[in-house]
Amino acid sequence: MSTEGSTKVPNGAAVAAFLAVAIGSLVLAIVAFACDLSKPFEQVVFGIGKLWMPGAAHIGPYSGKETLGLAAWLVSWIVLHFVLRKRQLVH
Amino acid sequence: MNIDTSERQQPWPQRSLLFVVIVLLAIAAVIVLATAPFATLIGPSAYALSGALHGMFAFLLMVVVTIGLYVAWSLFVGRLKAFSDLQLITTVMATLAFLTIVFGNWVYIAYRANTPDSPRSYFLAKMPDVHKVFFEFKEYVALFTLPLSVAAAYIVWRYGKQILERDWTRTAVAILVALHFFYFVMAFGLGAAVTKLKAV
Repeated sequence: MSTEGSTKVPNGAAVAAFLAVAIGSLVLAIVAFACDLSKPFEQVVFGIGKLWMPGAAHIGPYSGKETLGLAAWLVSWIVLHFVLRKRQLVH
Repeated sequence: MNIDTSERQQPWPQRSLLFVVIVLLAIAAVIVLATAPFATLIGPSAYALSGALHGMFAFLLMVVVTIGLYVAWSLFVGRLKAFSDLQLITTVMATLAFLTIVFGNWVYIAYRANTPDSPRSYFLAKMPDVHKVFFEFKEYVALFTLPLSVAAAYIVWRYGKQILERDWTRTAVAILVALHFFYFVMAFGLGAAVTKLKAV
């Protein structure tokens, strides 16, 4: 299939999307382990979940872990997207 | 005698197939609802509906990711013919992953309720490993499915058919879909096993 004639989009945006998934997943894993190691930190994470998530009080610190993972994924994606979108990084 | 060998164009070749599928689903729904009334089908719990929707979206996602894995494999080896299928599949995967997680959160309220008969209390009292290993693992890996499928869908729509000619992007999408399949199947299998042991 040919895309001859069409502008080749730099793959930086794809790299940004890919890396953001890894960052979000890594942050989720680190936060989950840190909550197991530290009860005060777990309470902080719980408080973050309760800030916005409906029913967060009933699902405990899991709401905050989801929130931090989600935030890490989306924020890193936005930042990486604007940094990398015009760059051709790999073949 | 002139024989017209030109291929007949059917304006909507999918229409008859869609009609057959709808009729079959309607027959199945009538049989199911006649033999198992809706309230009995989903159960008596206050969270029965959210649990049923969580299970339904997860089941649909199981079907879609299975197709998605095949489409991703075709993309990876360079044999993908219908690019629009990849766009549709990754978009549906992302949507169903979102809905499954949202309803999973909702039904999680019932799972970890602070009552002696909640599944969490039951497992911690009788089979602690089911909660501490199976469920704790499942509730996190299930979350990976959303960013994986959203990223795959984004790349597919952003780059269009250019993906087919670009090795890295093609491989990236195939890996995202394959990882989505892996994490989803883990979560689905463990979720089904936990539900079988003690439903909400």
